[in-house]
Amino acid sequence: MSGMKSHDCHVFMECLLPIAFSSLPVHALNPLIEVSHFFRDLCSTTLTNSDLAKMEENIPIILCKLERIFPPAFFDSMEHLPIHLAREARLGGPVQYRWMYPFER
Amino acid sequence: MNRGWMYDRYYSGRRGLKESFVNGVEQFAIKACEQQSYLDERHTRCPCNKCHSTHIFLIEMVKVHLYKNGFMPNYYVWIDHGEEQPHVNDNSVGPSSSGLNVVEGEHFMAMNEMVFDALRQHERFESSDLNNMDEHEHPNEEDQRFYNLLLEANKPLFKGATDSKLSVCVRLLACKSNWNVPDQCLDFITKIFLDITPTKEKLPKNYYDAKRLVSKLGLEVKRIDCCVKGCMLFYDNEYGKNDGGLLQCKFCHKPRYYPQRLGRTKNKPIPMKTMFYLPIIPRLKRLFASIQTAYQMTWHYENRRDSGVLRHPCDGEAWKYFDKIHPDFAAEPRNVRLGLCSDGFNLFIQTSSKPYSCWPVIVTPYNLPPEMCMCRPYMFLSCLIPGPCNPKTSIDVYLEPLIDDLKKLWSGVETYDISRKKNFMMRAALMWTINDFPAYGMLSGWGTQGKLACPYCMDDTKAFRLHYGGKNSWFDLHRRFLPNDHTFRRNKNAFKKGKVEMGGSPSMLTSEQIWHEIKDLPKVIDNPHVGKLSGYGEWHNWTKRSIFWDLPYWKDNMLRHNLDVMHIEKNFFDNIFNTVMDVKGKTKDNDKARKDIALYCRRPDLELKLNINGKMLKPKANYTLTIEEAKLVCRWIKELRILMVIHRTWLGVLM
Repeated sequence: MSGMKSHDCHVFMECLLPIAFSSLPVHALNPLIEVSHFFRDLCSTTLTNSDLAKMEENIPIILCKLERIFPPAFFDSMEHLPIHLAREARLGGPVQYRWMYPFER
Repeated sequence: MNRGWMYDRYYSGRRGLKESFVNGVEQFAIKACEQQSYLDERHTRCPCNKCHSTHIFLIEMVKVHLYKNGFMPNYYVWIDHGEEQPHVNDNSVGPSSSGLNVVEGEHFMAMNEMVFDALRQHERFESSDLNNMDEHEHPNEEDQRFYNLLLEANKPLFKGATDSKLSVCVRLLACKSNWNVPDQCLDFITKIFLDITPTKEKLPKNYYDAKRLVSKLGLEVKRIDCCVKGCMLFYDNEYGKNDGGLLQCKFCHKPRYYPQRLGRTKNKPIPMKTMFYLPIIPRLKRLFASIQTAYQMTWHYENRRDSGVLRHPCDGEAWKYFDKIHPDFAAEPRNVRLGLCSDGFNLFIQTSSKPYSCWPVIVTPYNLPPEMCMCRPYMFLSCLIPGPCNPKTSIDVYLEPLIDDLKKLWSGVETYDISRKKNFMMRAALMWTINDFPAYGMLSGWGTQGKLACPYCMDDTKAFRLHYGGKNSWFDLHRRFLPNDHTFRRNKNAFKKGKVEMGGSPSMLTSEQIWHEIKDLPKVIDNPHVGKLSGYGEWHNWTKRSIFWDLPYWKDNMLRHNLDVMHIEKNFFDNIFNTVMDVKGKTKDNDKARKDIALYCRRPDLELKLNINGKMLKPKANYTLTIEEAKLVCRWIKELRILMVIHRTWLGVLM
């Protein structure tokens, strides 16, 4: 498995991850599915304020669940930043206008 | 007017054409024959589904085409046959129909499209200008010059010709850019043209002539010399900078030009390094000079809604807050909001062994409707920062011309708006920057390395350095974001061993507070060799006062720099994938990580164990797949990929 472009990762993360890792034990799989859902919700073209508020509440719980499973070395700065993403979406609107896909092409 | 008949051609079962359609086409023919262009030339554009208004025929021929092929999609408004694009009114929702002319795909087609756009636009301009002379203002001098040039260049080569000098020149240049033809070859082609046609005065004489004509209409590019080491730019601005004439760098004293050989003093000196600056002001003006975009530039104002649904940045809190602080700016819906994006990329990935990092800076307007926002025609490249090294924090030096223009745009620039036929003062504000995480540090001035990498938590973070792994870890930092009574907070076993988290989430600084903190920090343009600030990495991560703070309104933006979701998602996914699949060398779950587990956590089943033969044994974790399972996943993905490829090729065949 190599040569995954960032968009491949995007698709895998949001759609395929729950299926691909379905052989993991449930307590490890569920938080991963929740992460996948979090990103899928965040990347939808229209967001509502109530959804975002819910996501802002949920993301610390999801990250805490991941902390219970993975070793400390797993958590670099990139694993921390999702915690601020929901707030940014509330301020700036949908992520499609604020990410770099259109520029990287 | 009901034009449902346009796309309702046959009776079911192909029992012939419907009467309503035949009548409609007849109506259309009458309408088309009334046009001035038809009276002049006895020909009209064919809007059938195959010609798409690009071919010009006799009206009988056009009718036959319409019976055979039907109208081209979405041609309810006959804009090529004398009808006006209706004004966008306050209640209209959804995608705008025909204002959009974005053609992806082959370049040459795009080029043709461009010429047609220009032609149509000027026709409309000319006619409306004659009719409503007294009601409307004339464009200001500069814009008028552009329209005059366009009119001049767009005159048909001879009576009845479909091509003008401009379109010939653009096609010649397209020929060069598509097939990389030498200049001499183009000179040869123009010579052939001249020899075989009777009208000589309107054709370009050579390649240079063609290029000059098009570049006069196009938008200028400035080349600015810069210091080899990136300390400064050799240019003058209106804010008191006067370095255009210097011959060596003010700071490092490196020469600006290559030394000239003796006796060759006549030649122009060659600068060591130049950057390209593509001024942003004329590009924004051009948005209002074109009829297709001028209407769309007020979309955000006409489609405001307070339903709690976010569809566009204008629904976000940051936009509304900015409007509240600057009511005079918000009052004029034509004022432009901009986003800025910067990213480094390597030019010669295959050929060069030396890395060369080049930094384009792209500016994009957010006024446009969602389907036009962030599209390629509306992303303006504004600076091209040359390599070969990453500019790091001194990227500010190169951004200076852009910031100067933004300052000027904040006070207003006179612009002609073709949709309302009025001049107005256009103002523009930069809303935020879009950048990946390393570039975040370069643009914002808050370094994104080390323990204090998170620009929101700032110094109120508990990130720590792993003893064995040697990397910074954000482990057990997220319990503080939980509600106070959450059970996780008192859990002493699952997180760091023996630790109860009672702290609240870190307080985020407002932009006023940040401004207070950084207003005394040095700016890179004043002193590029400042080095590390005292306390860097200990109680703050500031490297500089970012040049964006020079903008008078920057502190009124709630969201100044965006965390890029794309990169975060990708890295997050890579980490999960590599760890779960246990990819050798890439997994985060290596021996050192297991040693750290013993140090920080209470998870005896994951700690390294001493085997009988004296080696350390790494027990399999429950969050990784076994080799068989991983192979299964890989095979599954491979099949999936094949399916996707087949799917894609089939789509290609069917289309």
